[in-house]
Amino acid sequence: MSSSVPYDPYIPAEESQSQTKTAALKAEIDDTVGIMRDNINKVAERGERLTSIEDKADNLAVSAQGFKRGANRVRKQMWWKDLKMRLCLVLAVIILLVVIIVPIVVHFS
Amino acid sequence: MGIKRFFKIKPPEEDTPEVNRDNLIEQGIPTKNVNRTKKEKFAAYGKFAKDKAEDKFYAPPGYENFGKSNPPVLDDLNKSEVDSDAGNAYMREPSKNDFDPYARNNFTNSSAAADPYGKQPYDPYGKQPSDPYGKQSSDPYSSYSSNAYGNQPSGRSSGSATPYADPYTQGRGPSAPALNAGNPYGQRPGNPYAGHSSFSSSTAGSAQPSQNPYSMMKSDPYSAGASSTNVPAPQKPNPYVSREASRSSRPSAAPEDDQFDFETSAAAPKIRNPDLNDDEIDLNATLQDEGDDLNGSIHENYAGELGQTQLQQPDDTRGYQTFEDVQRQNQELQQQQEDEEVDEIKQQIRFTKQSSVASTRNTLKMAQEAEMAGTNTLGMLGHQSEKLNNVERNLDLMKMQNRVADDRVAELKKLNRNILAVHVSNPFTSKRRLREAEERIRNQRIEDKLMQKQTNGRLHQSTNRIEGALNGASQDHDTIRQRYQNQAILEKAKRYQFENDEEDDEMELEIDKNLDKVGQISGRLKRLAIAAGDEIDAQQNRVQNIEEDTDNMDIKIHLNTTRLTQIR
Repeated sequence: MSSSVPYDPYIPAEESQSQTKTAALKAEIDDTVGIMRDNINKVAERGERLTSIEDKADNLAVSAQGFKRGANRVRKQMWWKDLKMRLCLVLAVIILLVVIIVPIVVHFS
Repeated sequence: MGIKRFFKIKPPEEDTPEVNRDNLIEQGIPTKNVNRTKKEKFAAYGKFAKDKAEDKFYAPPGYENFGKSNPPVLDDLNKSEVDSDAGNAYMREPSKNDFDPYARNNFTNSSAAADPYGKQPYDPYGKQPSDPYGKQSSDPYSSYSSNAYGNQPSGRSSGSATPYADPYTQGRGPSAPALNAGNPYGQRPGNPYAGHSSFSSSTAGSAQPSQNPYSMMKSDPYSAGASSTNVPAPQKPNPYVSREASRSSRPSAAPEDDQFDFETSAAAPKIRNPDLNDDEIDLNATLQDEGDDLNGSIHENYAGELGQTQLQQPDDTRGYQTFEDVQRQNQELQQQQEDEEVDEIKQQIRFTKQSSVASTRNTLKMAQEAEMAGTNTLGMLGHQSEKLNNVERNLDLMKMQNRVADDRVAELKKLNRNILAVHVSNPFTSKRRLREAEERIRNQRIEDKLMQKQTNGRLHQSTNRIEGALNGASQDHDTIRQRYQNQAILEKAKRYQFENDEEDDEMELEIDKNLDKVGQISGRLKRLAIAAGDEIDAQQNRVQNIEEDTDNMDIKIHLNTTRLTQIR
């Protein structure tokens, strides 16, 4: 008994239905699959790029940290310089005053 | 320095970030707004993705704890959730509720493997009450791996179990399980839709192979025809075997069924079938023992024929058979065969239809899962776009602040020259310089605004795109239109229907509706795919910009740092 014989009258009809409805469906799905395949490639590329961004962000963070430290160091340095300058000025004024006042005091005493 | 220690003086401590920010705001330098409470539309997807993401360690056996003891600093954002879950799917124990295809393929439980409908209580359709989508909302990928992949391979690979596996391959398989003692004709004539009733009962939950429609398929005439020689012992009552073997016994039983219908055909196998009626005498066994030839016996010795073939039926009083009788019997035999064939064909139509319904359902479910996965992916893309926007805004801010820092470093450098080199700008051009400075500040401000606008515009664009795709067409079904549709479908389906009844109609309707839904879903899937592609493209550009900006920033900051170190 051939196994395919009983189905024979139905097979063409079945096919024609499939062809109308499922062929369009299949085409659409194939389309979608193609797009998604592209997308997957793009996402992979994007993933690589994101990884490199991660590295670069790390670098940026490190150099920003360095900048912060450098700025802080410079701030302290400048503060000391400022202090020294002020001390110098104060000393100079005092010396000046002494230079002015001492002769006067000596003169009048 | 002695003085330092002596006076215990030291430069003032660094400002706290808050104070620093206040100072910067006072000076008109843009700062990050920490109190910014902009609503993130896709924040939930971010949480979802975070929950799904898990760190992956590669370790040789025995060192599994080594990697985990180190606190993972950065979680791998590029890892896909599917990976880990797929791993789980392979590793998981095959439990009967959460039904694992890969494990199941290996284990050869004949009752389950041969029983597609019996396993239904815990497969896709049985699972539906427990709601794959409810599960999916919390965890689309795991359910995807356990459901979609779970069902599909079970449909394909465990061939004997599936609706796709057609009866012919099963029938040709020489190893018809010994379990299915169910003689198709022993059951079927009594209940022409015995196979069908057993289908419904096995969907109700019993996984017994005897009730399995496909176990019947296995012992169906094709198997009998192809493998009658190696059919195991319990299958001996197979009618074709018995018919060939006991051709001679037929005259005794057949003349009574003058007109052939289901009742008599039900009666005939019952008489002949030793397994169904134990009190009946085992006709076949003796006949096989004798191996008698019908024709020879007719022509040679009627009495001997009577004594030999009807030895087991002493109540049969008919002794003589004419040649016409034998011919009529043969005709009836043929008719019976034809009827049986028609029955088989009907049943096959039914099976095919049922398996079509099942496969369309399967397709629909997988399509829905795919749509869900696509939606989730798009949502996660949206969340990532928000994150990218965040990064962009921070970068913009960095640019502005770095510019200020640049200016300040240059100023400091200028001021830090020798004390005697007094810097005095030309007093006559001071107004012009002031104007120029204002102009520059304004231009910079405009530039910044433009930059921010671009950044926000990009976010807005991608949000719109994603929202548009996510809020894809939600079609409403009104019942009247549906009824007309049903009519049309049935009208169309007439061509594929043979003696259609209510159930058949329902199946046709369901096939058509499922196909329609799959079509809709595939349309939406396509739109999702296109939106995702656009979004990824846009994000690609943004990521590229961010990359370049980051590089530039790094260089600038490095430059500033070196400039600072030169100041002393």
